[in-house]
Amino acid sequence: MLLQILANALALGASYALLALGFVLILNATSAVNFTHGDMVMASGYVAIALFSVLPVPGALLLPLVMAVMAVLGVVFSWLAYFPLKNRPPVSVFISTIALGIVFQNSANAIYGAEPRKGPPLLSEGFFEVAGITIGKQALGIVIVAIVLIAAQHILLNRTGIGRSLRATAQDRQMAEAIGIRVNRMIALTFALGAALAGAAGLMLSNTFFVTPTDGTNYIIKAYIAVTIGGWGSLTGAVCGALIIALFEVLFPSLPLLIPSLEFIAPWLFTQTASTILLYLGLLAIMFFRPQGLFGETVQRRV
Amino acid sequence: MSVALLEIEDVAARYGQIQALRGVSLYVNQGEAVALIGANGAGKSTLMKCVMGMLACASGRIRLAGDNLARRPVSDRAALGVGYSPEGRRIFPGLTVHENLLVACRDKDGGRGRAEDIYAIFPALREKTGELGWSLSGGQQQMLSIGRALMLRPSLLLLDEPSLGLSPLLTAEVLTHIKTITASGTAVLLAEQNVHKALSVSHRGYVIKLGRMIRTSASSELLAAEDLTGAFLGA
Amino acid sequence: MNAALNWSMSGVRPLLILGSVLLALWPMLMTSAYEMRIFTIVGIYALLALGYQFIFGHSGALALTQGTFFGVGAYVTGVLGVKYQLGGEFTVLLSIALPLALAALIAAPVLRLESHYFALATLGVGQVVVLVVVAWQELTGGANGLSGIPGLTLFGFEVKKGYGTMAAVWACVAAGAFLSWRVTRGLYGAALHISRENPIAALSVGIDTAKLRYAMFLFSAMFAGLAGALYAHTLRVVSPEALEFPIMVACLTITVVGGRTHIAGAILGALLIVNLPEWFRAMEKYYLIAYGLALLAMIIAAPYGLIGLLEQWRAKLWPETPRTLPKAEPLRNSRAVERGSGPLLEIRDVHKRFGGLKALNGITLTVAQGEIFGLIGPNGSGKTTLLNVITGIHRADSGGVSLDGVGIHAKPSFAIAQSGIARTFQNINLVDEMSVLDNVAVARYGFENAGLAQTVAAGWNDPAWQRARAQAIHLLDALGVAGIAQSAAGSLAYGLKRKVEIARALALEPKLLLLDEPAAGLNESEQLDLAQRLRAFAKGGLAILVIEHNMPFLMPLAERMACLDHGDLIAVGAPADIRANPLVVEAYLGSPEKTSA
Repeated sequence: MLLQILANALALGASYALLALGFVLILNATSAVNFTHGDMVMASGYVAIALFSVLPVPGALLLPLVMAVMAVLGVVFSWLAYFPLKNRPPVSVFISTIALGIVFQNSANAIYGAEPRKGPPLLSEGFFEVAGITIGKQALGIVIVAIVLIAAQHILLNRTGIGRSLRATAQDRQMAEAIGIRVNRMIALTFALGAALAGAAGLMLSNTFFVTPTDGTNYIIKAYIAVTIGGWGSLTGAVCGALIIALFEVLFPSLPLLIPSLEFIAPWLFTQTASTILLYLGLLAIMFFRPQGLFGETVQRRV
Repeated sequence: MSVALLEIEDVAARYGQIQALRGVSLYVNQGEAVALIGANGAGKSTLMKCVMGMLACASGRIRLAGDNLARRPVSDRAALGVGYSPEGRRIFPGLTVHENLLVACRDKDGGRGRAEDIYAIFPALREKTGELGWSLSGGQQQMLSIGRALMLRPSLLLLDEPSLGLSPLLTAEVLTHIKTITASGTAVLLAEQNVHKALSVSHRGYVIKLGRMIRTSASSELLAAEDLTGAFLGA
Repeated sequence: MNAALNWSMSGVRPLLILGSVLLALWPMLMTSAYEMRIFTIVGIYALLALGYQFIFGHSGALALTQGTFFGVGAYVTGVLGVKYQLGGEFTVLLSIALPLALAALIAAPVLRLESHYFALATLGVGQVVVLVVVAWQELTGGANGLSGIPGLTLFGFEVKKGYGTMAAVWACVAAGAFLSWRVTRGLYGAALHISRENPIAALSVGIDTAKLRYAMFLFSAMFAGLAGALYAHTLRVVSPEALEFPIMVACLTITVVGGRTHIAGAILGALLIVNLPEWFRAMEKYYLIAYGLALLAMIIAAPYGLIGLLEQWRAKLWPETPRTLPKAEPLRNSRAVERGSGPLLEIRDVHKRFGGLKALNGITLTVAQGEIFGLIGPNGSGKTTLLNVITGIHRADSGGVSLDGVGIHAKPSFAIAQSGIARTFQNINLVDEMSVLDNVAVARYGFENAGLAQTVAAGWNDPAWQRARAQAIHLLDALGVAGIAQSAAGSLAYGLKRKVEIARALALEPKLLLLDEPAAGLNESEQLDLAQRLRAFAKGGLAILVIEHNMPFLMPLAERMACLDHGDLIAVGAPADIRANPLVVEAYLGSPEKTSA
């Protein structure tokens, strides 16, 4: 039973990890918080639905297409919301991303309506039985895809020339320019990468959790919580934070199943709603007591 | 008469609100080491930033091997053969020493061959090759900053205040490498507060004060000048 | 009479006065209940945006709770009105009180976060409230909400539907606008301005920026609660829609489009944003998309909103004649000068580390009253760090700092400024858009008992502010720069900015003045002038600690000096001794013998 729960948590965590990873990539490259990141996840769900209606193949085959579409969207997004404002204080970019998020949400609403839609499954819907645990094929697929993408992202950033240039741009843009890196292209590429990862996350979440236009707010908060837990700016931290959130979201409401007596003590506590509330309250608590995150270092700034 | 490698003519520039440069001119020949000396705030770094295109010149011309550098994006400088080691070093803190070098190189082998040349000049860097930039000491960072600038085989190296935050011993060590660098054909423009050290490793010097070039001469002559020493070191 | 005329002709006020008149007349032309209803909703959103301006505009903090506070206010009115049939005098009060309490509750963890942390934290709070409200069905009606909310009644008197409610709402808008004007003007308003534009500078002149932000956050909640209550009375229903994000979006859009610190901006923005879906009826589903695009366009092209744009145009096309300056008033020596026996400033074995770097390694120093003390050392030796530790911007890892025998190393930086330590900065920290005069006058904040109550209650001209400005003239005179009092600080040459910063520091009536590279950017005659003035201040009892690279400036000025190198104190003594000290010569000045050609 516990293993079952853990397996579910892992699948959820894998999707959240991709979401959080994309968020941090853009954050590191631009010091800009992209409020629309959650809306991109939502948008990619609809992109997946649209592509599926034209091309009814398993989600795994649609994945590269969805990621490509989202990458282009990411670049367009950076032209509209980031580049016009890159010399202004960061709050301006935050507002511009909120603005574009509004456009995304309401475009989705206008095109698809507010009713939840189901996205294409990654593989087929079905289950394996392994050692008494029922693992959905879907869930397994999600975990594998996430591992592949995270590994690919890691290799790209740490073992290739372009990855080095991306990291250099994120760490000191002016100096990167001085050694000949075309920083605008690097930033656009970072947005593309971040959006592509959001796209993968969106596709994978769309089948289990459906897609509604207002999902974005929820996802951006999840990304934010993951990054806060893991330490603002850290890629590994973001992945760890995402897994922790997923574990909490899946484990907490299921506690009465493991410890039956809890059911009687406070049945209202172990609902999905209550666990979401607790998660947000936990976020506030972390920000109050340990703002640098569970894994982060205190950063001091020199005046 | 051959055209100088770097020609700066009558350049004026503002740094924020200050008129930092009021019509300065200088030139650097190929393979030459030229010192730009002056007190803090005299305009040395501003001039370097103008050459790099990081600051706009209100007037004047900057030419590299005859090419006018005005209006060319900053990222062009590297391809044109200008290497830059800025004030404060600014190595990439999250990249290793090796990555700091590779990221500056456009060679087909990714820069590994050229990196070997750099390690030959700065053996201390080879020992630290896998360490992240932020963990290096000031002197190591300075050497890395110069090494990174050299990765592109520049014809001109701009070296801005390498002595900042370094002990005199380390500064001397860093500056001795200038001889090696010019010997291999790269010209060096060195901006420094530390008059003696700068002049002792250069062929010629320019003295800049409050945005104006007030003197230029062979380094040996400047070193001997009495009034110069007093003005910058305190009587 | 003359003053009133001047006031009404300044900025874009002629336009605004005309606009207000038109706005007051418009309802008289309205014939249908529908038009009145729309106008009422405009008023409600204007009130909401006015409240939002306190935290977003005047404090510069991007809060995303305004919609939540609005919704809470609406629900309080709804629940109390439907379930308990309480009259308006209770429900309105409670609709203001509950959001206020919520704001007070979340302020502690949330307000001290930096911008994007803060925004997303407030978003999280909003989500929690929505979830709780929807889940608590017996009280709130769950996802369906409550209907049948009675109209607004006050002490039994029923406000008529339609015209009556509209008048009530706009009366609240007028009252809110008046309150907003009161709170954000004068000395308190100047303190708000500097706190949002340059928090480090604000702390350095003794302003408790956290307290100001807290007050503004509470105000925003109160206005939102009132707006929510009125909304519930107007619509007669309340549902989770009142708590959801589109209202926050509308509020943010109104504020950005109208102008985030202009009262007229809230009203103009509300007029535009509420009527947009009406004017574009055909695009019903798309009006929120239009909001998003409008928001994007405004934030790129006109970050100060439409009113800000109008003001810019006015300033370009029809520049104003500068107003007459107040007469100079010397500072009343509010600070009792007790000549203690010990040193004024005592630094004892201070250590400070940044990650792997040891910035200060056991520094021990004293500075006496009226002494001019020079601090030198190569770049990166720790001089500015030491200054930051003294002024409380950094906390020392170990060791202590005391002023007049009282330990200050544990105090927050604004409190240290209040106890008598003033400073200038290496990178000048003035507020560029504020005039020189106002930049200096704001430093008198702590001396005038300026506070929320005072600024609301004060008369037309805020006497505290007038006094502060008069004293600022006196200080600018002391630095010889009274002539530029009306200029915007951002437009000045570096040397003049430097002097203005020193004048501002002196406004704190400090016992100790810390100057970080004061001679930078000054030519020789300006340096001599500055040195002369500093000597005069020191003779008056002010201790001065000067960090400098410029030896010809510092050597004749300082009575004692210390030299830092890589975080160590390597020499202390008279300037001549320092100059001759071989360690100093080697570390800082460079030694001819050590270099070989």
